[in-house]
Amino acid sequence: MCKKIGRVDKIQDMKILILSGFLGSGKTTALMKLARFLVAHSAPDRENKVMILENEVGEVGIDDAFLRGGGFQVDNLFSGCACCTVSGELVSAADRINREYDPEWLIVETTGIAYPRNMQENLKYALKLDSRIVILVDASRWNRLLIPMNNLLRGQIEGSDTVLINKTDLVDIETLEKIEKDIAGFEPAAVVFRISALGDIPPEVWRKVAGECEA
Amino acid sequence: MNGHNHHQHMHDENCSCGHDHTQEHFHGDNCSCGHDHTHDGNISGVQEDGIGVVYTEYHLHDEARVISGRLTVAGAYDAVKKAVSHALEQYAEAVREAGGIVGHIKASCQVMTVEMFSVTESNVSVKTAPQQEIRIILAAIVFLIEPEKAEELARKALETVCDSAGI
Repeated sequence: MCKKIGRVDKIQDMKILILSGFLGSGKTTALMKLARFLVAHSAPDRENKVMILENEVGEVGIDDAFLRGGGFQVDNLFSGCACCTVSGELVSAADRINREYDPEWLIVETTGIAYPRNMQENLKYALKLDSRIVILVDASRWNRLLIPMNNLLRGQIEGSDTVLINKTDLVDIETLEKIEKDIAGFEPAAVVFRISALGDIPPEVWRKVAGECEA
Repeated sequence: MNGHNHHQHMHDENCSCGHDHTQEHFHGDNCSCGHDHTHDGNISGVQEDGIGVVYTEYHLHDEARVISGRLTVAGAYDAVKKAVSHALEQYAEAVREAGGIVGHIKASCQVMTVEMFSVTESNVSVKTAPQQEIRIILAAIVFLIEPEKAEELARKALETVCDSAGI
């Protein structure tokens, strides 16, 4: 359980990871593993290590209850997408969490229809807080979604720091190579990993997601 | 961040929260009526609903059709769990048959089992209520389908759960 700190003499602002990707790509599963990694590798003197801000576009939340059941400290933004309709609420929530809880890490799990770069820009503009973007991609549905959902898939990957191609166990090598090529076409600078979020994910993947030496 | 839905009601109002409201108040007030108005058992801000009543609604977000639904049933959870799984699969198939794309269709079930403890002399007796109350929350995001159609299919999905639970 996270404790309120209320510090005004903060030495270092919290680090923010924006975890995004299309619906069904495995964000929540990956989030739980990422959060555990960050907790295990956070500064021992930090009272609150990781907080999760969960955004769900529907009227009620489902993932937040699941995450709380996993023992994580979760805050919610319901009824809108934090990249647009509830962007102000995202900034307010991040600011409040930073001031009141002073965690080392804030992970923002976006809706599956969000454009995370908008969120990154809003956090930077309003709060002067830097963030990194990690995108989950569902390998098993990539080819089926690529044409009808092209704008959204492209918009999510553009500007991202890391892309995790998930569910790699469900597709063949040729499909994976094509996905990697597509991703490189959307964001050449992104570091791309192949993972299966239901299995073990090597620590070097999470270190890269967190910004290499920062975790 | 979003708390539960605080609504105001009057004496003898036929309110769905299930309490006897003997004075005007807001849920969460420290009133003297003796009931717990905090509704901590609610899921994510939804008011308590009647058993077997299906609620659905939709809104649009760019090209996405965002469907929310909820239903509370009383029955054996194992049967309801199977019915929910089946209903979600049927819903996804119906969306695809209508030419739509399933972003995701999710549901959560909050299961409440009531056990009564009583003691008159020295030994406590424990009785378990024969049925569980199960609150089902549905959240779907679909594309390339008329929103009214997507909502109608969600309603049908929840109604089949209702039927399976024997309500």
